[in-house]
Amino acid sequence: MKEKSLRTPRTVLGMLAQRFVQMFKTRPPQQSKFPDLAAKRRSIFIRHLDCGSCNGCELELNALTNPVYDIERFGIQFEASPRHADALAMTGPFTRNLEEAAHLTLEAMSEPRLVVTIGDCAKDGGIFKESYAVKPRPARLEEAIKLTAIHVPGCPPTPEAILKELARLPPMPSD
Amino acid sequence: MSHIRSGIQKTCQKPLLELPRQAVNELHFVVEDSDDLLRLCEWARQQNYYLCTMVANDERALTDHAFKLYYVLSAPQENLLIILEHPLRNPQYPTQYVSIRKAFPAVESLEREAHDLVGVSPLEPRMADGFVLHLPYPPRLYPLRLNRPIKKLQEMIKNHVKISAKLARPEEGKLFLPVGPIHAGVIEAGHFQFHVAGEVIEDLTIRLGYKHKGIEKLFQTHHTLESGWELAERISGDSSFAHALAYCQAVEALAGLEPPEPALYWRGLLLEMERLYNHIGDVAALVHDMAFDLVAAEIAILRESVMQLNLGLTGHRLLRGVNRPGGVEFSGAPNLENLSAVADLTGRFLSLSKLVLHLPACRERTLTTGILTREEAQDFGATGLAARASGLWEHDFRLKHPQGVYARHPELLDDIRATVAQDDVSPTVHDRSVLVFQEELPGDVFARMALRVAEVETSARIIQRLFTELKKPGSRALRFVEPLTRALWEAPNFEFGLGFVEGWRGDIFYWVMKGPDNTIFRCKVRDPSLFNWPALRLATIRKPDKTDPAGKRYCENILADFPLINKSFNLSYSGHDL
Repeated sequence: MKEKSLRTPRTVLGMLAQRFVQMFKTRPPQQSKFPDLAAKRRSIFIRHLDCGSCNGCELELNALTNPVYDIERFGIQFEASPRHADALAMTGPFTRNLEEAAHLTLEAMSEPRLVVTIGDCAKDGGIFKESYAVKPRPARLEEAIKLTAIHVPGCPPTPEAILKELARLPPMPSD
Repeated sequence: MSHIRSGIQKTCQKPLLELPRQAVNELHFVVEDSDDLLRLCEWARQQNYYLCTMVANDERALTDHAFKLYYVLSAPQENLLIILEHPLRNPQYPTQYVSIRKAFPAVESLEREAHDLVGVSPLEPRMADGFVLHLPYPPRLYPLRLNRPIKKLQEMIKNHVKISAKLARPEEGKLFLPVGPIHAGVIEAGHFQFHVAGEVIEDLTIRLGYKHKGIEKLFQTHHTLESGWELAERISGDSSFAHALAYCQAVEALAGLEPPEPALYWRGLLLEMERLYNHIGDVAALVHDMAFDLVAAEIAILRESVMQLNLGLTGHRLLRGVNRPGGVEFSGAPNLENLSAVADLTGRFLSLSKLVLHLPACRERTLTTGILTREEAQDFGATGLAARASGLWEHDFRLKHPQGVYARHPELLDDIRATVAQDDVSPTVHDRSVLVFQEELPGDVFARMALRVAEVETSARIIQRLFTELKKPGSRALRFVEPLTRALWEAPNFEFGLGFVEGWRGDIFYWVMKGPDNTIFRCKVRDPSLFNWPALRLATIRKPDKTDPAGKRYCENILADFPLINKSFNLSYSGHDL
């Protein structure tokens, strides 16, 4: 790599300072775009479960953690282990090869548990519905999905849509 | 072209039958004899040709009454694709063939896939099941055979009693570290088994196929040639546009028609937009893994801005719903004006990533980590960015097989060539803000990261050029589609078309055979990930360092390096499993 002139601030600190100044210059205090979420005074830990998606929904779930959407300001966090999670975010049409892993993930969660379905595939299989490799979900998972009753439509849904739907998460029975 | 033709005929003992092709830069030969096929592949290997795809096709109901294999080889210097058709005519072994693995080791993944899905396998070595069809599937299911309608498949699967998997036990004194298929982040599903000695990764077994969705069968049963783009878009989310484009080009090749000129510009532009957001996102992920979270967050904002631009252009953040066989179609007026923001965006991105690339902590983590040598990349058929970062810097379908806008405007190719500078004196050196030199591409994480940064700059330049073309009057419409229906009806049945695109990950290859009534008889999809997963394994494991003259040093990576290596490749699971 060889140097040439830099256009924007030279150091990370300089850049931070610039952003700090910008924040006060251009943005008056704003009403939250997601008042439901902002009003929710509780945190939700979400575990993502890929059941054979095309990676589109994962991209948008990942986008939720960037500074533009910053899902963590609402107390929502993506968890590494299902054992720590309140809710499962399911994407994809449920492929046969993942059935066992999905089952184990669900069973590792403590009850009460919520299961949110994200994307058109997770609703009913979407475009892959009639494939031999896609199967109906097992009864226990279906039960949890019905109980939570939150589905984010879209292929893939935009981060805003996911945020808006997550605001509808019911309170946990133990709350 | 004639010297290649004579070279091929001279290599074979029996004269080959050459079939005519509609496209000018394709040669199609029927190789009946397996010895001739091996000789041809050996010869092709010496010429530095590489394997693009292998298609196993059930043509027992067609005139030849046999399974057939189609090998597609690329002759990069001549801009030529060589198709070798190999019918399996041995009455004793109607489903077996002689593997070309010696000449092209990359064929292994394709062979294993064909073994599971079509049920044709090489005589030697014996194939193991379970590449994409795991234990929930009965043995000998072969879903892509003609005598397996979906109903029968469902029935076979239903009647199958699942055997539970036995966990493989490591040998005494060895430690396995299994990871997955459900990973700890928001990523796709796949299983990795690390064989570790202390912290050093000795070996790595990658097991995929969890996301197998039966896409190739769905193409045959639920789609026509004109509707297949919808499914192609959903093969790999981050390459939606490139996959749809490759599919559409294959169908256009079948029809023998080209889309109108503005459609070519739009396709070129949107393909680069896809490359832009993915490369920026990947660099953000790499920087995040090096624990520079602040910079990673800044870059993530830039990526989000590109996604918003995509939304303004096409109404979809992942650029879906635009490509049609025959051209492009927009649901709303594309917001071209915003595109001028790309220059500013990439400027910010380049200065940020340059900052990181110069940090000692970054160099410490990335230099000599996860080395994929030039020879390994060549042998195992690594494609796309992974191959380019290993020193095969011209391994790019836009350069070697230019199509669409690249065929019409060769000056765009100069921009791509300038991504990697060859020396200090070449004229391209001075107007680039990020410079990657040819000798700086040893195939480690740093090389892949730096090349990504350099490719972002290239993409931004191409976008600027196409942007000015598209601003001209006459390019403002919602629909630029050449009607294909009639041409497709008139095209002969059981003819096939090739579609290939240099996506951001590498070359995406489609092989589409037309059935009666505009149905899809067979659609073979080859995502670059299929070739690059074995390359990722090679880059991770412990191996002798070839650059050491004494031959004592080893290339070693520790467990903590794997996230970096994995992200520097960033392969698709869904595109691999289909």
